[in-house]
Amino acid sequence: MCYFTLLSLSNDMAKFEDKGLKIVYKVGDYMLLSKAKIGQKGEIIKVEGKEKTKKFLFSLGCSEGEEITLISILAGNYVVNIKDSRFAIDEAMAKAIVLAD
Amino acid sequence: MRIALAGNPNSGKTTLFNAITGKTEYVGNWAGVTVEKKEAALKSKFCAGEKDVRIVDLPGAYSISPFTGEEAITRDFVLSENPDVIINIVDGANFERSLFFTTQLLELNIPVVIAVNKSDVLKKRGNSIDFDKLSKALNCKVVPTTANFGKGLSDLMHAAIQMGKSNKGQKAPFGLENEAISDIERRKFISEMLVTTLDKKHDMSKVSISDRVDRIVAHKYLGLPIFFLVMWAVYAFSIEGLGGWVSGFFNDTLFGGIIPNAANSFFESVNLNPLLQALIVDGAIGGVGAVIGFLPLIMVLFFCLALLEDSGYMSRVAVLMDRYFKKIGLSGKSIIPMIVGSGCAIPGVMATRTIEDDNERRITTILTPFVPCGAKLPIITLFSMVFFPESSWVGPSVYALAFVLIILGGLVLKKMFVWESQSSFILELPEYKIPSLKHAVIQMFDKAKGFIIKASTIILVMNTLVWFMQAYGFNLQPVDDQGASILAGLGGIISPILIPLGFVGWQLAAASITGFIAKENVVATFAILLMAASEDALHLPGGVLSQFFTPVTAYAFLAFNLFTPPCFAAIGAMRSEMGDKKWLFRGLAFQLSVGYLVALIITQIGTPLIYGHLADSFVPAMIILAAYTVLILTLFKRADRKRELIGA
Repeated sequence: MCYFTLLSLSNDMAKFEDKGLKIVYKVGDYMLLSKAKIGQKGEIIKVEGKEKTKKFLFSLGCSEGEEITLISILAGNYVVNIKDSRFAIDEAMAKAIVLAD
Repeated sequence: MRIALAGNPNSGKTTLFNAITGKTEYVGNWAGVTVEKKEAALKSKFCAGEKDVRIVDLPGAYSISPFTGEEAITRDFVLSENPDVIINIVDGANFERSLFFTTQLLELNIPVVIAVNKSDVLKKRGNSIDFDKLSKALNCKVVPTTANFGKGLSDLMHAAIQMGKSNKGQKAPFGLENEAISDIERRKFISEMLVTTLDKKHDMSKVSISDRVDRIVAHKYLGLPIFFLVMWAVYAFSIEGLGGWVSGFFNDTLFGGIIPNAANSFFESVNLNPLLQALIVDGAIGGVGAVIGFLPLIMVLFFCLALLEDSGYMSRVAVLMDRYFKKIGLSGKSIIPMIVGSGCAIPGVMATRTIEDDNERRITTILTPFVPCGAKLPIITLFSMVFFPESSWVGPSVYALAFVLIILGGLVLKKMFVWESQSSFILELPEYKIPSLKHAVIQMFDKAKGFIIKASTIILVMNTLVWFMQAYGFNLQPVDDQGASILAGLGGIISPILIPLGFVGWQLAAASITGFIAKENVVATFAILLMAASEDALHLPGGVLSQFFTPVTAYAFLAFNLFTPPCFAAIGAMRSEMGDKKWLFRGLAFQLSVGYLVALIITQIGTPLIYGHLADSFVPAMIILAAYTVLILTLFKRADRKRELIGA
């Protein structure tokens, strides 16, 4: 189980810190869930947003180190598979989930 | 002994609760159906000799730290009310996720028995669980169940009662301290345990049939028309179809002739006092009958809604509506209270608990009663039968109007009150299932029972009162002319306010007021008032009601009664969900204004449009409209200033 702190996130680069170790993901290494292709599976490396929402997502199994699959995009919402369940999340939330590519 | 049922949303807690207690609590196939705790006695056949076993059904929760209001109820109960045993219902179809909450429950030192529910779905997917290993790993009893078909329930209750009697605490299979770390360790514990206990054959990350259906029903262009078609079908079947047809028989034949005639001839044969006879036949039978006549219609509506709610479609509607509701500062979750509210506004308003953001929840609470509930169906049906016998658009049109008012109302409220909407939309999409006919029939009779109880208590009392008030004057002497009665006096105080809407007559004010006790009373009151004045049946096309209305003002009156605040019981529910008197007051003022203005606009625009002349009350109506415009603009400006101040 990895534990990252996001230092910065730009269009082509994301910097993370993991137990003092700096990790830099370049484009191609990471992507936002909102940019994933339908059917694409990926490992979550970071969930951003309000603490309360993050905690809730954690209880659903949507957190660092877990696998997530984008199933469909329906009426602007992203349908994902997390631990055998389907969830619909809105675009803002899909942008807050960072995947390893 | 008290046994609590806890587990993830939509894992089947209430289905299990109903099966072991014989209750008929509300179930549905989406996350967040149960929003309050329910308690009942265990059926004696499950008690295994133990006396007084109480079962407590709790709202679903994904974890012990609550995200929404109903999850907090569950947390508070298990942490502070010390149940003797917790039955943790684990969804076999969402096994790994469900166990997260399990690991938290195991730390409370309350004996836990795990029910792995939906065993049939588990089997169908070809997955299997080693229950013995699981039981050892978690240090508690594990029983497979299928609550839908009553399987495994005796074993489960037997195990739970044994645990309760033994009075032993619960030892967690792991020792943990710091919560932030422990949550991650919990996850690790679960995934390590599942390596040996779960044999997974089915890959859920593949596109399933359910997903293919979703791609159609929640399609960005097709979704909305499909939703309207489904809702139209439900109401057409209830109002015009089977429900309307049986109701027609009830109204015209049963309560329009057979029953009152039989009662009259019976009372005449026993020489009853004519006034008492009038009270019973015109007041009680006439009023309650006018309402009971609509029972088939309401039963069919609830039957259809139960099928719909059981299928899994509700969550998809929420996904579909999310983008539209975002524009008015709400999220897709707000549609669920509204659909539930189309049956009855009280559970509708209570369903707002599943909304995380306070402001979003309040706005949804204000808007939900705009959806016409089952109790308003009699008014809708009566008015369309009398004034629009040839057209079938009246029923659907009020639902369309409700939809428009919700969107416009949401926009106005968003501009009027300052808040930052930050809430995010996350909703579980349960797999579709074929709705259970048995469940729908049970729900239908349960609702029918509730309706008959309401009709024979609150509506009966109100009708007796209305009959008395229209037959007696303030001097408590019977009056010859209804116009001199107590009711005319009281209605007369309010009726001037209704003149700008084109409603002339104390009778209309009286009917609207009784509607706040229960909306069916609007129909019952008309029945009593007009039965005393005329021999014609209330429901005939162009019947006695037409002395008060033109079709345009009739439609306005219908809108007025649908869109002003709901009945007192629903206002009570609004109060407890708002948790704040100021917001309740704002909500009621808003609803009253919307109902009033909509009726005013229908009359003042409809009259010249259809009859080619201005309505009589045109001038006062315009003054009121102007006053409202100023008020609304002032409130908008005030909100804008506030926004500037906080820099939003």
